[in-house]
Amino acid sequence: MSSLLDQLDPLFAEIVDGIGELDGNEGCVEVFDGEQNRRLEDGWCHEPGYFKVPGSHAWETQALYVAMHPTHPGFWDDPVSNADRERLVQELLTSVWNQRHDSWVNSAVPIVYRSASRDVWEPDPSAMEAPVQALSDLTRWLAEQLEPGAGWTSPEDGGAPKWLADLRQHWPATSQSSESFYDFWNDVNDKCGLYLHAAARLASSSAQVAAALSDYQTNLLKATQKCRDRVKEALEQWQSWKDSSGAWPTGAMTDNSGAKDILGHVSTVTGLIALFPPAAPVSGGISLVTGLTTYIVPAETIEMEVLSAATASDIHSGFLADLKRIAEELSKTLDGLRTEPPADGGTFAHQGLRSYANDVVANQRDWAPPTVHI
Amino acid sequence: MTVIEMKMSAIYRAAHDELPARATSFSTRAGDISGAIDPIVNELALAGNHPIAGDLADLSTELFVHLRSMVRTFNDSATALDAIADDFSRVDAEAGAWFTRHQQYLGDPETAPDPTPPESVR
Repeated sequence: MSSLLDQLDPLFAEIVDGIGELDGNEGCVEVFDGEQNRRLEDGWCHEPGYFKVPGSHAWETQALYVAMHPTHPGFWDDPVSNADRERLVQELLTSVWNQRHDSWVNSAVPIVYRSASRDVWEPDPSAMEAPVQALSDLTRWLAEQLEPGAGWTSPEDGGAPKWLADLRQHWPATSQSSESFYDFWNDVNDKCGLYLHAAARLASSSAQVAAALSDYQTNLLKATQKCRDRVKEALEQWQSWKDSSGAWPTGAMTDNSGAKDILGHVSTVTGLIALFPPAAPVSGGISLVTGLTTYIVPAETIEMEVLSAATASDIHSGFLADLKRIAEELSKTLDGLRTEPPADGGTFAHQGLRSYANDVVANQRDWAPPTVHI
Repeated sequence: MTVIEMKMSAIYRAAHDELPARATSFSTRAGDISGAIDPIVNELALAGNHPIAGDLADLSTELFVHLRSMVRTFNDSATALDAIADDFSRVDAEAGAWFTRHQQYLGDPETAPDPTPPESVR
């Protein structure tokens, strides 16, 4: 299990628990409304009662319940008193609240959140740090092969290593032509020049991918924390807020202007490419740090749907939409990393990774080292 | 040093020292490609199986196959040169005498292992 999921799971549970409490509150309002809207027969009236709604954010309120009026003929003989009726309403409230709350807490909703965000939390970008480093090292090693001192030259060349010149001079007469060997040898640096481009693209694209995964994981965690905070805020408002009309906070609750979350957006592709261009591994290596503490990409923002929601079902569907959105945006960013050219000068092809890789595969024959027959 | 001695020395040095060193170096780098790309592709498989993994794997495969081809060429060249020199030392008395004094060249040159290919090549 990834360490990110270790952080997400308790948050998902907290969110679902809070949504259950909100739903419980909404259920209690339905009970209050039911009492208040009941048509009164003769001899019955509405009496104000004091009721308590349970939960971690419990609240008390005065509400009307249907009571027997003292003018009712059976008022003095009825074994059920108005105090009993008030208590029954309280019992109903507690039972409705628990039922609605439990139906969320015991549901599969946390699994639904997990599954909607799986593509974001499941990969481990830190597992890509060492591979990116290795590809970066490979790139620099290939670059070293292009230097004159590497010795990939004709034995007749003045800069050829002595052992190669000696071999040329003393090549056994019994063997077939030695020329194919020298052709191969002399061509190694040219081939390494081609491979250098491929290795640089491989290292930089892998770094871009790892950074994108890391950033979206940060987004996912922050968005989930924000949803948890939103649920708490909604519960707190149930405790404190009741407008003059007597309406409970089942509609839009707060001004959400400016309440936006960071979400890596399409522009991050350019940001990631600029951060890890193919020239980087050639010139000095890539310093890739993944993990939830770093947030590399200057993000465009997308407003989280859940931040404009206040009711249990709106918060649930809003958060679910946010989770799906984050996964979609990650996929879009990776799409962009496939197709956008690196645009870092003349050394490297001005084409996206996908078309570059296709070209390399198509030119396999030209990239293969020559055959040697000794 | 006689011409024969220089010939023997030049060929055995190439076959037993220089070419195996190059083969080992290229083999290590080719193996590094597999060691790097496999975890990257594995993590991307978890990120909704994104097709960028295929591009990275294709590039790695090409790089790997060409570097491995170089490894094999270095190995084959070393082995062939060694065999030629061994034959020569058997039929030429001076070469044979030189070989007796240079027993470090007894046996085949130590060729580099074929690098482990990436998953996509296996």
